[in-house]
Amino acid sequence: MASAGSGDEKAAAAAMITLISSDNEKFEVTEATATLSQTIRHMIEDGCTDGGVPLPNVTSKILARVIEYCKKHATAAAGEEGSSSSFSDAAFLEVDRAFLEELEEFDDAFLEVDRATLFDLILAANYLDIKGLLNLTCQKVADSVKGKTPEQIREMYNIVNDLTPEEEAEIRRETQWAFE
Amino acid sequence: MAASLLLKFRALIARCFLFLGSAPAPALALEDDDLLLEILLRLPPLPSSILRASLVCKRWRRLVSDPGFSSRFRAHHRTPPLLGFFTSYDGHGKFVPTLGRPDRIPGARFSLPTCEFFRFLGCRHGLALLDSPRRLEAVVWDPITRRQTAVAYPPEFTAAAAQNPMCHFHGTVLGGDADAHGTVSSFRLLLLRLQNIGNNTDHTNVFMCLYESGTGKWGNISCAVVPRWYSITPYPHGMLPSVLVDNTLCGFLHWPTGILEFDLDSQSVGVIQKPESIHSCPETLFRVVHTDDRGLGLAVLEPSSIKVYGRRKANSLDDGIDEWMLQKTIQLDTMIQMPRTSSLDPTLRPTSDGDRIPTILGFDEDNNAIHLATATGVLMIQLDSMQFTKLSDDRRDPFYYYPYTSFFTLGN
Repeated sequence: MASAGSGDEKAAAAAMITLISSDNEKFEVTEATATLSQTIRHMIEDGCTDGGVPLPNVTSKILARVIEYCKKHATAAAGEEGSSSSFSDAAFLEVDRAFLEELEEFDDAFLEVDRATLFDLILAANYLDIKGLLNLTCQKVADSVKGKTPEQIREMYNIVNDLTPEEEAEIRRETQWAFE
Repeated sequence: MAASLLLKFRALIARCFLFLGSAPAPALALEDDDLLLEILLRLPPLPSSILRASLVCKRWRRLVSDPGFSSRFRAHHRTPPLLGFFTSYDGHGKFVPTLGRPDRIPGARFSLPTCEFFRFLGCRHGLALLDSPRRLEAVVWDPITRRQTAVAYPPEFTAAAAQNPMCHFHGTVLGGDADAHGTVSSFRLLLLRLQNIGNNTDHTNVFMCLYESGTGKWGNISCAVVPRWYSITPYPHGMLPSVLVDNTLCGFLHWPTGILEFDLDSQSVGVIQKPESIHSCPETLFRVVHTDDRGLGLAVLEPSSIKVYGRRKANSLDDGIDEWMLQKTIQLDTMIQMPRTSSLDPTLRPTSDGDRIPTILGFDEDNNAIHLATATGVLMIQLDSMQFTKLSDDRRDPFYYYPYTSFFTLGN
Protein backbone atom coordinates (compact mmCIF):
# COMPACT_ATOMS: atom_id res chain seq x y z
CA MET A 1 0.00 0.00 0.00
CA ALA A 2 2.66 2.49 1.06
CA SER A 3 5.10 1.48 -1.67
CA ALA A 4 7.44 4.20 -2.87
CA GLY A 5 7.56 5.63 -6.40
CA SER A 6 5.95 8.65 -7.98
CA GLY A 7 3.67 6.52 -10.16
CA ASP A 8 2.05 4.91 -7.13
CA GLU A 9 1.78 8.24 -5.35
CA LYS A 10 -0.08 9.72 -8.29
CA ALA A 11 -2.37 6.77 -8.35
CA ALA A 12 -3.00 7.13 -4.61
CA ALA A 13 -3.66 10.85 -4.98
CA ALA A 14 -6.20 10.15 -7.69
CA ALA A 15 -7.98 7.46 -5.66
CA MET A 16 -11.55 8.53 -5.02
CA ILE A 17 -13.52 8.28 -1.78
CA THR A 18 -17.28 8.59 -1.46
CA LEU A 19 -18.60 10.62 1.46
CA ILE A 20 -22.28 10.27 2.39
CA SER A 21 -24.03 13.10 4.20
CA SER A 22 -26.75 12.69 6.86
CA ASP A 23 -29.41 13.35 4.17
CA ASN A 24 -27.90 10.61 2.07
CA GLU A 25 -26.22 12.72 -0.59
CA LYS A 26 -23.02 11.25 -2.05
CA PHE A 27 -19.86 13.27 -2.66
CA GLU A 28 -16.92 11.91 -4.67
CA VAL A 29 -13.61 13.38 -3.49
CA THR A 30 -9.96 12.55 -3.98
CA GLU A 31 -8.17 10.80 -1.16
CA ALA A 32 -5.86 13.85 -0.81
CA THR A 33 -8.90 16.04 -0.14
CA ALA A 34 -10.59 13.56 2.19
CA THR A 35 -7.50 12.93 4.33
CA LEU A 36 -7.39 16.51 5.53
CA SER A 37 -9.91 15.01 7.93
CA GLN A 38 -8.03 12.91 10.49
CA THR A 39 -11.26 10.97 11.13
CA ILE A 40 -11.48 9.89 7.47
CA ARG A 41 -7.70 9.33 7.28
CA HIS A 42 -7.99 6.77 10.07
CA MET A 43 -10.95 5.11 8.34
CA ILE A 44 -8.93 4.82 5.13
CA GLU A 45 -5.98 3.39 7.05
CA ASP A 46 -8.30 0.87 8.66
CA GLY A 47 -9.65 0.00 5.19
CA CYS A 48 -13.27 0.75 6.04
CA THR A 49 -14.17 3.13 3.25
CA ASP A 50 -15.53 0.62 0.72
CA GLY A 51 -19.07 1.50 -0.19
CA GLY A 52 -18.60 5.08 0.95
CA VAL A 53 -18.09 6.84 4.28
CA PRO A 54 -21.35 7.66 6.06
CA LEU A 55 -21.18 10.95 7.97
CA PRO A 56 -24.42 10.98 9.98
CA ASN A 57 -23.52 14.23 11.76
CA VAL A 58 -23.00 16.33 8.65
CA THR A 59 -25.73 17.60 6.33
CA SER A 60 -25.14 17.83 2.57
CA LYS A 61 -25.18 21.63 2.75
CA ILE A 62 -22.36 21.68 5.34
CA LEU A 63 -20.47 18.76 3.81
CA ALA A 64 -20.34 20.60 0.46
CA ARG A 65 -18.75 23.59 2.22
CA VAL A 66 -16.30 21.39 4.14
CA ILE A 67 -15.24 19.68 0.89
CA GLU A 68 -14.77 23.07 -0.75
CA TYR A 69 -12.41 24.00 2.10
CA CYS A 70 -10.53 20.69 1.98
CA LYS A 71 -10.06 20.81 -1.80
CA LYS A 72 -8.48 24.25 -1.62
CA HIS A 73 -6.25 23.39 1.32
CA ALA A 74 -5.25 19.98 -0.06
CA THR A 75 -3.97 21.75 -3.16
CA ALA A 76 -2.08 24.16 -0.90
CA ALA A 77 -0.53 21.30 1.07
CA ALA A 78 0.52 19.57 -2.17
CA GLY A 79 2.03 22.85 -3.39
CA GLU A 80 4.00 23.25 -0.18
CA GLU A 81 5.43 19.75 -0.41
CA GLY A 82 6.47 20.41 -3.99
CA SER A 83 8.27 23.64 -3.21
CA SER A 84 10.04 22.39 -0.10
CA SER A 85 11.61 19.53 -2.01
CA SER A 86 13.05 21.87 -4.62
CA PHE A 87 15.52 24.69 -4.16
CA SER A 88 13.59 27.63 -2.81
CA ASP A 89 14.87 30.49 -4.90
CA ALA A 90 13.23 33.89 -5.27
CA ALA A 91 10.80 32.68 -7.90
CA PHE A 92 9.54 29.89 -5.67
CA LEU A 93 9.18 32.24 -2.72
CA GLU A 94 7.19 34.60 -4.91
CA VAL A 95 4.87 31.79 -5.98
CA ASP A 96 4.54 30.67 -2.33
CA ARG A 97 3.64 34.15 -1.20
CA ALA A 98 1.08 34.62 -3.95
CA PHE A 99 -0.41 31.24 -3.09
CA LEU A 100 -0.61 32.04 0.63
CA GLU A 101 -2.32 35.33 -0.12
CA GLU A 102 -4.79 33.55 -2.34
CA LEU A 103 -5.43 31.02 0.41
CA GLU A 104 -6.03 33.80 2.92
CA GLU A 105 -8.49 35.46 0.56
CA PHE A 106 -10.23 32.12 0.11
CA ASP A 107 -10.48 31.65 3.90
CA ASP A 108 -11.92 35.15 4.38
CA ALA A 109 -14.54 34.59 1.68
CA PHE A 110 -15.24 31.10 3.04
CA LEU A 111 -16.16 32.57 6.43
CA GLU A 112 -18.75 34.91 4.94
CA VAL A 113 -21.61 32.76 6.22
CA ASP A 114 -24.49 33.22 8.63
CA ARG A 115 -23.98 32.36 12.27
CA ALA A 116 -25.90 29.06 12.13
CA THR A 117 -23.73 27.83 9.24
CA LEU A 118 -20.58 28.93 11.06
CA PHE A 119 -21.52 26.86 14.12
CA ASP A 120 -22.44 23.89 11.95
CA LEU A 121 -19.00 24.17 10.33
CA ILE A 122 -17.40 24.12 13.79
CA LEU A 123 -19.28 20.95 14.69
CA ALA A 124 -18.33 19.32 11.39
CA ALA A 125 -14.67 20.39 11.68
CA ASN A 126 -14.59 18.94 15.19
CA TYR A 127 -16.32 15.67 14.21
CA LEU A 128 -14.16 15.22 11.11
CA ASP A 129 -11.06 16.42 12.99
CA ILE A 130 -9.90 19.03 10.48
CA LYS A 131 -7.54 21.19 12.53
CA GLY A 132 -7.23 24.09 10.07
CA LEU A 133 -10.98 24.45 9.63
CA LEU A 134 -11.63 24.21 13.38
CA ASN A 135 -9.04 26.92 14.02
CA LEU A 136 -10.45 29.16 11.30
CA THR A 137 -14.09 28.87 12.41
CA CYS A 138 -13.40 29.14 16.17
CA GLN A 139 -11.27 32.21 15.55
CA LYS A 140 -14.15 33.77 13.64
CA VAL A 141 -16.50 33.31 16.61
CA ALA A 142 -13.85 34.60 19.04
CA ASP A 143 -13.39 37.68 16.84
CA SER A 144 -17.14 38.28 16.88
CA VAL A 145 -17.18 38.83 20.67
CA LYS A 146 -14.10 41.06 20.60
CA GLY A 147 -14.81 44.34 22.36
CA LYS A 148 -18.35 43.25 23.32
CA THR A 149 -19.74 43.60 26.82
CA PRO A 150 -21.02 40.48 28.62
CA GLU A 151 -24.59 41.69 27.95
CA GLN A 152 -23.90 42.01 24.22
CA ILE A 153 -22.28 38.56 24.10
CA ARG A 154 -25.31 36.98 25.82
CA GLU A 155 -27.66 38.70 23.43
CA MET A 156 -25.66 37.66 20.35
CA TYR A 157 -25.64 34.00 21.29
CA ASN A 158 -28.86 33.62 23.32
CA ILE A 159 -27.02 32.79 26.50
CA VAL A 160 -28.93 32.93 29.77
CA ASN A 161 -27.17 34.79 32.57
CA ASP A 162 -27.23 32.39 35.52
CA LEU A 163 -24.77 34.33 37.68
CA THR A 164 -26.35 35.61 40.86
CA PRO A 165 -26.36 39.41 41.30
CA GLU A 166 -23.93 38.90 44.21
CA GLU A 167 -21.50 36.93 42.05
CA GLU A 168 -21.70 39.53 39.32
CA ALA A 169 -21.18 42.38 41.74
CA GLU A 170 -18.16 40.68 43.22
CA ILE A 171 -16.46 40.23 39.84
CA ARG A 172 -17.27 43.77 38.79
CA ARG A 173 -16.10 45.34 42.03
CA GLU A 174 -12.59 44.03 41.46
CA THR A 175 -12.34 44.74 37.75
CA GLN A 176 -14.72 47.59 36.95
CA TRP A 177 -12.08 49.12 34.64
CA ALA A 178 -12.47 46.23 32.18
CA PHE A 179 -16.16 46.97 31.66
CA GLU A 180 -16.01 50.72 31.07
CA MET B 1 -17.73 7.62 19.25
CA ALA B 2 -19.57 8.38 22.48
CA ALA B 3 -18.92 12.07 21.89
CA SER B 4 -20.39 11.96 18.40
CA LEU B 5 -23.46 10.14 19.69
CA LEU B 6 -23.86 12.78 22.34
CA LEU B 7 -23.64 15.55 19.75
CA LYS B 8 -26.18 13.76 17.63
CA PHE B 9 -28.51 13.51 20.60
CA ARG B 10 -28.03 17.18 21.38
CA ALA B 11 -28.71 18.12 17.77
CA LEU B 12 -31.96 16.17 17.98
CA ILE B 13 -33.00 17.91 21.20
CA ALA B 14 -32.14 21.31 19.74
CA ARG B 15 -34.22 20.60 16.66
CA CYS B 16 -37.16 19.50 18.80
CA PHE B 17 -37.02 22.82 20.62
CA LEU B 18 -36.91 24.63 17.30
CA PHE B 19 -40.06 22.85 16.20
CA LEU B 20 -41.76 23.76 19.45
CA GLY B 21 -41.21 27.38 18.47
CA SER B 22 -39.34 28.29 21.65
CA ALA B 23 -36.81 31.15 21.77
CA PRO B 24 -33.85 30.55 19.45
CA ALA B 25 -31.69 27.82 20.98
CA PRO B 26 -28.15 28.75 21.93
CA ALA B 27 -25.69 27.71 19.23
CA LEU B 28 -24.89 24.03 19.57
CA ALA B 29 -21.15 24.52 19.27
CA LEU B 30 -21.30 26.81 22.32
CA GLU B 31 -23.05 24.04 24.28
CA ASP B 32 -20.05 21.77 24.07
CA ASP B 33 -17.40 22.59 26.69
CA ASP B 34 -14.51 21.47 24.46
CA LEU B 35 -15.64 23.59 21.54
CA LEU B 36 -16.45 26.61 23.69
CA LEU B 37 -12.94 26.24 25.13
CA GLU B 38 -11.46 26.27 21.61
CA ILE B 39 -13.31 29.55 20.98
CA LEU B 40 -12.38 31.17 24.31
CA LEU B 41 -8.70 30.29 23.78
CA ARG B 42 -8.81 32.45 20.66
CA LEU B 43 -10.05 35.60 22.41
CA PRO B 44 -7.55 38.45 22.07
CA PRO B 45 -4.79 38.26 24.71
CA LEU B 46 -5.93 41.52 26.30
CA PRO B 47 -7.01 41.93 29.93
CA SER B 48 -10.66 42.79 29.20
CA SER B 49 -11.25 39.69 27.00
CA ILE B 50 -11.10 37.14 29.78
CA LEU B 51 -12.72 39.36 32.40
CA ARG B 52 -15.69 40.07 30.15
CA ALA B 53 -16.04 36.41 29.14
CA SER B 54 -16.06 35.52 32.84
CA LEU B 55 -19.23 37.59 33.33
CA VAL B 56 -21.29 35.99 30.56
CA CYS B 57 -22.60 33.04 32.61
CA LYS B 58 -21.50 30.42 35.14
CA ARG B 59 -20.22 27.99 32.52
CA TRP B 60 -18.06 30.57 30.74
CA ARG B 61 -16.77 31.73 34.12
CA ARG B 62 -15.90 28.18 35.16
CA LEU B 63 -14.01 27.54 31.89
CA VAL B 64 -11.88 30.72 31.92
CA SER B 65 -11.14 30.45 35.65
CA ASP B 66 -9.55 27.05 35.31
CA PRO B 67 -5.73 27.04 35.75
CA GLY B 68 -5.51 24.68 32.76
CA PHE B 69 -7.22 27.33 30.65
CA SER B 70 -4.64 29.95 31.66
CA SER B 71 -1.71 27.82 30.55
CA ARG B 72 -3.43 26.86 27.27
CA PHE B 73 -4.30 30.52 26.66
CA ARG B 74 -0.64 31.49 27.16
CA ALA B 75 0.53 28.65 24.92
CA HIS B 76 -1.92 29.65 22.18
CA HIS B 77 -0.96 33.34 22.17
CA ARG B 78 2.71 32.86 23.11
CA THR B 79 3.61 36.56 23.41
CA PRO B 80 2.13 38.39 26.40
CA PRO B 81 0.96 41.94 25.72
CA LEU B 82 2.67 44.98 27.19
CA LEU B 83 0.33 46.12 29.98
CA GLY B 84 2.42 49.13 30.97
CA PHE B 85 5.60 49.89 32.87
CA PHE B 86 6.79 50.21 36.44
CA THR B 87 8.68 53.41 36.99
CA SER B 88 9.68 55.98 39.52
CA TYR B 89 10.24 59.66 38.79
CA ASP B 90 10.20 60.93 42.37
CA GLY B 91 11.31 58.00 44.48
CA HIS B 92 7.81 56.50 44.66
CA GLY B 93 7.36 53.51 42.39
CA LYS B 94 4.18 53.25 40.35
CA PHE B 95 2.58 51.38 37.47
CA VAL B 96 1.74 53.34 34.34
CA PRO B 97 -0.71 51.55 31.99
CA THR B 98 -0.10 51.82 28.26
CA LEU B 99 -3.16 50.04 26.80
CA GLY B 100 -6.33 51.93 25.89
CA ARG B 101 -9.76 51.31 27.39
CA PRO B 102 -11.11 48.80 28.35
CA ASP B 103 -7.71 47.15 28.81
CA ARG B 104 -6.22 50.05 30.72
CA ILE B 105 -5.41 48.65 34.16
CA PRO B 106 -5.52 51.47 36.71
CA GLY B 107 -2.12 52.20 38.27
CA ALA B 108 -3.59 51.58 41.72
CA ARG B 109 -4.48 47.98 40.80
CA PHE B 110 -0.74 47.24 40.61
CA SER B 111 0.31 49.36 43.58
CA LEU B 112 3.68 48.20 44.83
CA PRO B 113 3.84 46.11 47.98
CA THR B 114 4.96 48.14 50.93
CA CYS B 115 8.30 47.04 52.24
CA GLU B 116 10.50 48.68 54.79
CA PHE B 117 13.07 49.75 52.21
CA PHE B 118 13.21 48.17 48.84
CA ARG B 119 14.51 48.59 45.36
CA PHE B 120 12.63 47.60 42.20
CA LEU B 121 14.98 45.36 40.21
CA GLY B 122 12.91 44.37 37.18
CA CYS B 123 10.15 42.20 35.69
CA ARG B 124 9.98 38.99 33.71
CA HIS B 125 7.38 36.29 32.98
CA GLY B 126 4.64 38.27 34.72
CA LEU B 127 6.61 38.66 37.97
CA ALA B 128 8.40 41.65 39.47
CA LEU B 129 11.51 41.47 41.63
CA LEU B 130 12.17 43.81 44.51
CA ASP B 131 14.86 43.51 47.11
CA SER B 132 15.78 44.94 50.42
CA PRO B 133 19.57 45.17 50.86
CA ARG B 134 18.93 46.25 54.45
CA ARG B 135 17.00 43.07 55.29
CA LEU B 136 19.14 41.01 52.90
CA GLU B 137 16.16 39.49 51.17
CA ALA B 138 14.59 39.53 47.74
CA VAL B 139 10.83 39.81 47.23
CA VAL B 140 9.13 38.16 44.25
CA TRP B 141 5.78 39.83 43.57
CA ASP B 142 2.98 38.90 41.18
CA PRO B 143 1.10 42.15 40.43
CA ILE B 144 -1.91 40.27 39.02
CA THR B 145 -2.58 37.97 41.97
CA ARG B 146 -1.05 40.49 44.44
CA ARG B 147 0.84 37.63 46.04
CA GLN B 148 4.45 37.99 47.13
CA THR B 149 7.12 35.85 48.63
CA ALA B 150 10.39 36.77 50.30
CA VAL B 151 13.62 34.83 49.83
CA ALA B 152 16.61 35.43 52.11
CA TYR B 153 19.91 36.04 50.27
CA PRO B 154 22.16 32.96 50.12
CA PRO B 155 24.19 32.53 53.35
CA GLU B 156 27.50 33.30 51.61
CA PHE B 157 26.09 36.64 50.38
CA THR B 158 24.74 37.48 53.80
CA ALA B 159 28.10 36.71 55.43
CA ALA B 160 29.95 38.80 52.83
CA ALA B 161 27.59 41.71 53.41
CA ALA B 162 28.31 41.58 57.14
CA GLN B 163 32.05 41.71 56.47
CA ASN B 164 31.96 44.33 53.77
CA PRO B 165 29.14 46.85 53.71
CA MET B 166 30.40 48.13 50.37
CA CYS B 167 29.26 45.12 48.38
CA HIS B 168 26.41 45.66 45.97
CA PHE B 169 23.51 43.34 45.14
CA HIS B 170 21.39 43.01 42.06
CA GLY B 171 19.13 40.35 40.61
CA THR B 172 16.60 39.17 38.10
CA VAL B 173 13.55 36.88 38.20
CA LEU B 174 12.26 34.18 35.81
CA GLY B 175 9.28 31.84 35.62
CA GLY B 176 9.90 28.45 37.15
CA ASP B 177 9.22 26.26 34.12
CA ALA B 178 9.30 26.08 30.35
CA ASP B 179 5.86 27.73 30.27
CA ALA B 180 7.68 31.10 30.51
CA HIS B 181 5.21 32.20 33.15
CA GLY B 182 5.99 32.67 36.79
CA THR B 183 3.94 32.57 39.95
CA VAL B 184 5.06 33.28 43.48
CA SER B 185 5.31 29.54 43.98
CA SER B 186 7.03 28.77 40.67
CA PHE B 187 9.97 31.01 39.86
CA ARG B 188 13.71 31.22 39.62
CA LEU B 189 15.69 34.07 41.07
CA LEU B 190 19.24 35.00 40.12
CA LEU B 191 21.09 37.17 42.60
CA LEU B 192 24.36 39.02 41.90
CA ARG B 193 26.88 40.30 44.38
CA LEU B 194 29.49 42.77 43.20
CA GLN B 195 32.57 43.46 45.24
CA ASN B 196 35.67 45.42 44.35
CA ILE B 197 38.89 43.47 44.84
CA GLY B 198 40.93 45.37 47.43
CA ASN B 199 40.74 49.12 47.79
CA ASN B 200 42.79 50.36 44.90
CA THR B 201 42.63 47.66 42.29
CA ASP B 202 41.07 47.84 38.89
CA HIS B 203 38.92 44.76 39.19
CA THR B 204 35.59 43.68 40.58
CA ASN B 205 34.35 40.23 41.52
CA VAL B 206 30.88 39.32 40.32
CA PHE B 207 29.23 36.41 42.14
CA MET B 208 25.99 34.91 40.86
CA CYS B 209 23.71 32.42 42.54
CA LEU B 210 20.41 30.89 41.31
CA TYR B 211 17.44 30.11 43.57
CA GLU B 212 14.70 27.74 42.47
CA SER B 213 11.36 27.93 44.24
CA GLY B 214 10.64 24.29 43.34
CA THR B 215 13.45 23.03 45.59
CA GLY B 216 13.58 26.11 47.82
CA LYS B 217 17.38 26.05 47.52
CA TRP B 218 20.17 28.26 46.25
CA GLY B 219 22.57 26.67 43.75
CA ASN B 220 26.37 26.89 43.61
CA ILE B 221 27.96 30.32 43.41
CA SER B 222 29.70 31.13 40.14
CA CYS B 223 32.17 34.02 39.86
CA ALA B 224 33.75 36.22 37.18
CA VAL B 225 36.31 39.00 37.44
CA VAL B 226 35.51 42.14 35.46
CA PRO B 227 37.15 45.56 35.12
CA ARG B 228 36.17 47.99 37.86
CA TRP B 229 33.67 50.15 36.09
CA TYR B 230 30.92 51.16 38.40
CA SER B 231 30.54 53.26 41.48
CA ILE B 232 28.68 51.74 44.39
CA THR B 233 25.44 53.61 44.89
CA PRO B 234 21.90 52.20 45.08
CA TYR B 235 21.75 52.21 41.27
CA PRO B 236 25.36 52.08 40.15
CA HIS B 237 26.51 53.03 36.68
CA GLY B 238 27.33 50.11 34.49
CA MET B 239 24.29 48.04 35.50
CA LEU B 240 22.33 46.69 32.55
CA PRO B 241 19.00 44.82 32.55
CA SER B 242 19.50 41.20 31.53
CA VAL B 243 17.73 39.62 28.56
CA LEU B 244 16.89 35.92 28.24
CA VAL B 245 18.34 34.44 25.04
CA ASP B 246 17.52 30.73 24.75
CA ASN B 247 18.54 29.55 28.20
CA THR B 248 21.15 32.21 28.91
CA LEU B 249 20.66 35.56 30.61
CA CYS B 250 22.78 38.26 29.00
CA GLY B 251 23.62 41.75 30.28
CA PHE B 252 23.74 42.48 34.05
CA LEU B 253 26.79 44.71 33.89
CA HIS B 254 28.76 46.28 31.13
CA TRP B 255 32.19 47.85 30.74
CA PRO B 256 33.95 49.13 27.63
CA THR B 257 34.79 45.72 26.19
CA GLY B 258 32.18 43.33 27.54
CA ILE B 259 28.95 42.25 29.18
CA LEU B 260 28.12 39.25 31.35
CA GLU B 261 26.13 36.10 30.69
CA PHE B 262 24.70 33.44 32.99
CA ASP B 263 23.97 30.01 31.59
CA LEU B 264 20.88 28.67 33.40
CA ASP B 265 21.74 25.04 32.57
CA SER B 266 25.31 25.01 33.84
CA GLN B 267 24.65 27.87 36.31
CA SER B 268 27.91 29.55 35.35
CA VAL B 269 28.91 33.15 34.66
CA GLY B 270 30.74 34.10 31.47
CA VAL B 271 31.91 37.18 29.64
CA ILE B 272 30.70 38.25 26.19
CA GLN B 273 33.00 40.56 24.23
CA LYS B 274 31.32 43.61 22.70
CA PRO B 275 32.00 44.73 19.15
CA GLU B 276 34.83 47.26 19.05
CA SER B 277 32.72 50.01 17.50
CA ILE B 278 30.53 50.36 20.60
CA HIS B 279 33.16 50.27 23.34
CA SER B 280 32.51 53.79 24.58
CA CYS B 281 28.72 53.56 24.76
CA PRO B 282 27.04 54.45 28.09
CA GLU B 283 24.09 52.30 29.23
CA THR B 284 21.61 55.09 28.41
CA LEU B 285 22.47 54.46 24.75
CA PHE B 286 23.12 50.73 24.86
CA ARG B 287 20.94 47.68 25.53
CA VAL B 288 20.96 43.91 25.12
CA VAL B 289 18.09 42.98 22.78
CA HIS B 290 16.93 40.12 20.55
CA THR B 291 17.85 39.89 16.90
CA ASP B 292 15.04 39.08 14.43
CA ASP B 293 15.76 35.35 14.84
CA ARG B 294 15.67 35.65 18.66
CA GLY B 295 19.42 35.45 19.04
CA LEU B 296 21.56 37.76 21.15
CA GLY B 297 21.55 41.34 19.87
CA LEU B 298 23.18 44.55 21.03
CA ALA B 299 21.35 47.78 20.27
CA VAL B 300 23.05 51.15 20.20
CA LEU B 301 21.21 54.46 20.05
CA GLU B 302 23.08 56.75 17.68
CA PRO B 303 22.33 60.39 16.82
CA SER B 304 19.73 59.52 14.19
CA SER B 305 19.31 55.76 14.32
CA ILE B 306 19.30 52.57 16.35
CA LYS B 307 21.83 49.99 15.23
CA VAL B 308 21.35 46.33 16.12
CA TYR B 309 24.36 44.00 16.11
CA GLY B 310 24.03 40.23 16.03
CA ARG B 311 26.57 37.46 16.36
CA ARG B 312 27.67 35.26 13.53
CA LYS B 313 28.86 31.90 14.79
CA ALA B 314 32.55 31.40 14.26
CA ASN B 315 33.31 28.66 11.79
CA SER B 316 36.07 26.18 12.45
CA LEU B 317 38.48 27.92 10.06
CA ASP B 318 38.36 31.20 11.99
CA ASP B 319 40.01 31.80 15.34
CA GLY B 320 36.94 30.43 17.11
CA ILE B 321 35.63 33.81 18.25
CA ASP B 322 32.10 34.81 17.26
CA GLU B 323 31.98 37.83 15.01
CA TRP B 324 29.57 40.73 15.51
CA MET B 325 27.73 41.91 12.42
CA LEU B 326 25.56 44.99 12.00
CA GLN B 327 22.15 43.41 11.35
CA LYS B 328 19.76 46.31 11.26
CA THR B 329 19.62 50.09 11.24
CA ILE B 330 16.39 51.78 12.28
CA GLN B 331 16.20 55.42 11.20
CA LEU B 332 14.86 57.67 13.93
CA ASP B 333 15.19 61.20 12.61
CA THR B 334 11.91 61.08 10.75
CA MET B 335 10.09 59.72 13.77
CA ILE B 336 11.38 61.74 16.67
CA GLN B 337 12.48 65.25 17.18
CA MET B 338 16.25 65.15 17.49
CA PRO B 339 18.21 67.63 19.57
CA ARG B 340 19.75 70.52 17.74
CA THR B 341 23.22 69.58 18.88
CA SER B 342 24.80 66.58 17.27
CA SER B 343 26.37 65.46 20.52
CA LEU B 344 24.65 62.64 22.29
CA ASP B 345 26.83 62.82 25.36
CA PRO B 346 24.31 62.09 28.14
CA THR B 347 26.34 64.09 30.63
CA LEU B 348 25.37 67.25 28.74
CA ARG B 349 22.07 68.19 30.34
CA PRO B 350 19.35 69.32 27.98
CA THR B 351 18.68 73.05 28.13
CA SER B 352 15.03 72.76 27.09
CA ASP B 353 12.57 70.02 26.17
CA GLY B 354 13.35 70.44 22.47
CA ASP B 355 16.99 69.70 23.19
CA ARG B 356 16.26 66.56 25.17
CA ILE B 357 18.70 63.89 24.18
CA PRO B 358 16.90 60.61 23.43
CA THR B 359 17.94 57.83 25.80
CA ILE B 360 17.02 54.18 26.14
CA LEU B 361 14.62 53.63 29.05
CA GLY B 362 13.98 49.92 28.82
CA PHE B 363 13.55 46.82 26.73
CA ASP B 364 10.51 44.53 26.48
CA GLU B 365 12.02 41.12 25.69
CA ASP B 366 8.66 39.48 24.93
CA ASN B 367 7.73 41.93 22.19
CA ASN B 368 11.34 42.79 21.26
CA ALA B 369 10.70 46.50 21.69
CA ILE B 370 12.96 49.29 22.88
CA HIS B 371 11.44 52.11 24.93
CA LEU B 372 13.00 55.55 24.46
CA ALA B 373 12.73 58.81 26.36
CA THR B 374 12.52 61.57 23.75
CA ALA B 375 11.69 65.28 23.54
CA THR B 376 8.07 64.32 22.77
CA GLY B 377 7.63 61.65 25.46
CA VAL B 378 8.13 57.91 25.78
CA LEU B 379 8.33 56.06 22.45
CA MET B 380 8.27 52.31 21.87
CA ILE B 381 10.04 50.88 18.83
CA GLN B 382 9.31 47.29 17.89
CA LEU B 383 12.60 46.05 16.47
CA ASP B 384 11.26 43.41 14.05
CA SER B 385 8.57 45.53 12.41
CA MET B 386 10.33 48.87 13.18
CA GLN B 387 6.93 50.25 14.24
CA PHE B 388 6.81 53.29 16.51
CA THR B 389 4.19 53.74 19.25
CA LYS B 390 3.94 56.65 21.64
CA LEU B 391 3.38 55.44 25.21
CA SER B 392 3.34 58.57 27.33
CA ASP B 393 3.99 62.31 27.28
CA ASP B 394 6.44 62.12 30.14
CA ARG B 395 9.79 63.62 29.20
CA ARG B 396 11.49 63.27 32.57
CA ASP B 397 14.35 60.92 33.36
CA PRO B 398 13.03 58.19 35.66
CA PHE B 399 15.04 56.48 38.40
CA TYR B 400 14.01 53.19 36.88
CA TYR B 401 11.74 51.98 34.11
CA TYR B 402 10.68 48.37 33.55
CA PRO B 403 8.14 47.35 30.86
CA TYR B 404 5.61 44.89 32.30
CA THR B 405 4.08 42.19 30.08
CA SER B 406 1.61 39.55 31.19
CA PHE B 407 -1.58 37.72 30.31
CA PHE B 408 -4.35 38.91 32.61
CA THR B 409 -5.98 35.53 33.16
CA LEU B 410 -8.04 34.40 36.14
CA GLY B 411 -6.67 30.95 36.89
CA ASN B 412 -3.15 32.01 37.84
